[in-house]
Amino acid sequence: MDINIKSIKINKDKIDEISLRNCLYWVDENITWELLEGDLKWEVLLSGSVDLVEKETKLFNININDNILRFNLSRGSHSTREQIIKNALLKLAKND
Amino acid sequence: MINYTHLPFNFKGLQDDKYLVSNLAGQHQHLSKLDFDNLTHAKYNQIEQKSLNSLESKHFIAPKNEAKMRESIIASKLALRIQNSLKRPTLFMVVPTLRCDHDCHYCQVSRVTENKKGYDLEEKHIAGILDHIEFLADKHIKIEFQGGEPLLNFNFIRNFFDTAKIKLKGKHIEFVIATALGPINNEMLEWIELNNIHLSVSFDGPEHIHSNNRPSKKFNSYENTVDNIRLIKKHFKGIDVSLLSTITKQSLQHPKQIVDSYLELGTKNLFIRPLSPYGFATDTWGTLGYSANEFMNFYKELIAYIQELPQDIIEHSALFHLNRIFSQATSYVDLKSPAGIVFGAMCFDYNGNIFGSDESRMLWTSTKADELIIGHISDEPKNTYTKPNLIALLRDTFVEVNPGCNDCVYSQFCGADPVHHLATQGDLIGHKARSFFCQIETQMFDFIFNEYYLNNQMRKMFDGWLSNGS
Amino acid sequence: MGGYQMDLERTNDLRFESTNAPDGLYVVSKSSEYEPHAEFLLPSIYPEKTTIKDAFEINCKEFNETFTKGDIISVSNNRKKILGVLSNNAKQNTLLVTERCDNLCSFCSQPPNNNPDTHLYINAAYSIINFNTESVIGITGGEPLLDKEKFLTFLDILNKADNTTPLHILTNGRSFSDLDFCNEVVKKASNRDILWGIPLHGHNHELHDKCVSMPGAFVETMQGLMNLSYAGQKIELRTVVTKDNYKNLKNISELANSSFPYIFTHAIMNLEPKGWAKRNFNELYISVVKQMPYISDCVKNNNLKSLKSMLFNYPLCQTPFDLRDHYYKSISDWKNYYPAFCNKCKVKNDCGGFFASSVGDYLNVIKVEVEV
Repeated sequence: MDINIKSIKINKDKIDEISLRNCLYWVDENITWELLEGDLKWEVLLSGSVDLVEKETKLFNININDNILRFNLSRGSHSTREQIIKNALLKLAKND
Repeated sequence: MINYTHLPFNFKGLQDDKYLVSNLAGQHQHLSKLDFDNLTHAKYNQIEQKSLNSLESKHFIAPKNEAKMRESIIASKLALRIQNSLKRPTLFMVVPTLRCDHDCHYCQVSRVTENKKGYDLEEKHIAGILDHIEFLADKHIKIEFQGGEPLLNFNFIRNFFDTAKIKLKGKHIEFVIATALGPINNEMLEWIELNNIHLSVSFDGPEHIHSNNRPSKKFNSYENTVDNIRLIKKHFKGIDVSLLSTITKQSLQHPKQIVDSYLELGTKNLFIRPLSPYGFATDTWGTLGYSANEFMNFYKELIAYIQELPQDIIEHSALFHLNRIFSQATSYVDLKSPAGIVFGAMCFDYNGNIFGSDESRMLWTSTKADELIIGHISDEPKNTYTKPNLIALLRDTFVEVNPGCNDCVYSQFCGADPVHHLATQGDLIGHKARSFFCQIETQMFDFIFNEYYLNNQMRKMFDGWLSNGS
Repeated sequence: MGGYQMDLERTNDLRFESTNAPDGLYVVSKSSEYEPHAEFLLPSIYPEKTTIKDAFEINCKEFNETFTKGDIISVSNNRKKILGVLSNNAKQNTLLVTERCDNLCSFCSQPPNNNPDTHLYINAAYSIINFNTESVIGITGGEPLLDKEKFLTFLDILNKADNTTPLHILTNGRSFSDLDFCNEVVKKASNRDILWGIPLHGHNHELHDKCVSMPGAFVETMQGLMNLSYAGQKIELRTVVTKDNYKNLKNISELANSSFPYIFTHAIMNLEPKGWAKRNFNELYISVVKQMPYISDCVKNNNLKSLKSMLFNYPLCQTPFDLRDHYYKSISDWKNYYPAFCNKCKVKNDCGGFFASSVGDYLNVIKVEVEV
């Protein structure tokens, strides 16, 4: 089986580590990944069969962009999901 | 011009460059890429007017001075959804016997042969079971007899029914027997019809699928099922029979034939159930099982076929997903958050064990993991439902905070399946990227949302199903 | 059940010839009964001679054609008139408790004023107690909950008399944004069935506040609806369809579904040319033909969520067949009117017809639609 390794570099100011690991969460279990931290950039190495690496790289990039968007949205939002969930649970607790 | 801000939402890119957004109020909106980009880049007033109005009505955006009020509204709506998921259980399963007259390949309960002794639920337990039900239940409940083949212990069913009628007098009970119809006779059918009992019968499709999936040493199982269904439809019209089809690898090539076989039986209600990949030995799954992609290819073809046909056929798996989308209904205990295990259903096994779902009963059969047992029928109800493992079931099945679920656009419509993840991965939450359950549900919701918003004919069909009630 | 906004121009007011009854409210009785006086009882009045000592009698020619035993009537000696207040002969009974209001809806059919209203609340309570029915009575205004004290007193009087008459109360809901007041009302309302009819004319503050001509109304109404619906009260959402909001009906439905746990019904109402609606008719009225596609969208959306829709004040001929399940023959018998071209119509008996007040200029507008 041919093994391919793809390297994806992302600027550290674009995405934080948690969001990055969130993307790694979704990588196919037949891919081996490695996360390297540089001064200015993250580097993600994905290795596996040629077709799978191709496919997973595409998906990974989509996930990165989605997570960057999520991060920006949560900053621009009036309040966070966590606050709303907390309020919901407080209302529930009061009710009973 | 109104000064808008946005409120928290989840999103996903769908087919044809469209986007779906959803929020904790349980609402969703299908958007063009342009509108989505305008939304996410705070260019609210550039959003197309109709979409803008919709987004505002659904609390995706709000005038800045209303943001706080709308957040309170969303929190209340979320609290309501959670509260609805925490109502008292409505489904009570009772297993009169583990004896069976079939050898279904996908059986997950370690059934035993028809005449084996020691595998019946003793009638002395009827009072205890009813005590537990009375303690747990509200006014409207469903009591479902499962097995093995429940009719092999018909006397138990009859006695249980008679006693329940007295002991649970104030409650509104729907009785169901899940049966393969092997032992059925006129006497049973008359009693079933007289007492308004429903039947739930597995019908996997044409003979080469049904008999293959569900063989029996006693008879040709396809003929047995079909002949008995026809008999009931002809001579016992008062009996409501619902059919369901469990999908195995053998079924995957034949979506249209499965639909046709249902139409031939004179029924317009289908219920397609995928297999769960646990409780089987690995090689058995290899013979029977499939990937989520393979299942969805089959399922899409089946739905497309139904839509083309002139008859008004309803596929109920799609319908309960639609109900989850449009009203976050909690009537289907297998797709809700917090999970339906214990909080939606309860199962009283032939040996007296109490489980929180049929799946946990099955899983216990193969693993003997005692943490799945809630208690025993002979225990006092008021001491039974306080164990710490129940707290875990509640704590670990909130999609809003589970990794893998919290950012998912479908989270408010989907649910938690803790037993599935316990079985396949060893913990109640599971790693969703490796989860067959998540793959199937994600693809189901992808399919339904894409079809609903991009295919007018399909949308019409779905709306028709929703309007007729479920 | 009825209870859409009714006016007080009752055709059931009669001139009387003579009476020994002073001005006030009375229960209509027949001679054979003797009604004792107790704390909340209204005095009886008899339309014929009786042998009861000190009985109030009234001499009125058409009395028995209009009123029956148990009805509540009001006697006005200087106008020599009997006014029907609550009647067993009426298809719907509604009581006006105030003419004051804190909204100024451009289509208001009962324009507000500052006339004193304390006696109206008290009279309404006594009338309900003495009428003693299990049929729904409508409570309307003005804004019945504008004066919170007076409304709570109204409920207190009813409760003290052990009355359990179901009520259909029309209110803009703004008072319920006060959570304490809301909880108090819910407590005092617990022994009867109440349907709260609360209007929502827009899906956002811009539209709703424009319709009710009151900035800030939307937020208060939404807050009120929140408090009331989560308290488990039965709510009828009402939307009057005008040029301003007809394109946003579905969005109002979406807003309700996104915000409240359960709404009992959604009443979609065609404009009644009365009061300010009559004055502003040309600015407000949008033809039924133009409304229907948007009503259809709204109703279909309501159906998806099992929210019951009801169409009020629409001619049947303009209502598409797939919406006819939601059609309600709502114009009461003494307000409706069938133009000549309706006489050939096969479904005339199922149709509410048109408002009598639409005779004249407005009917011409409507007549054109029907012929099409």
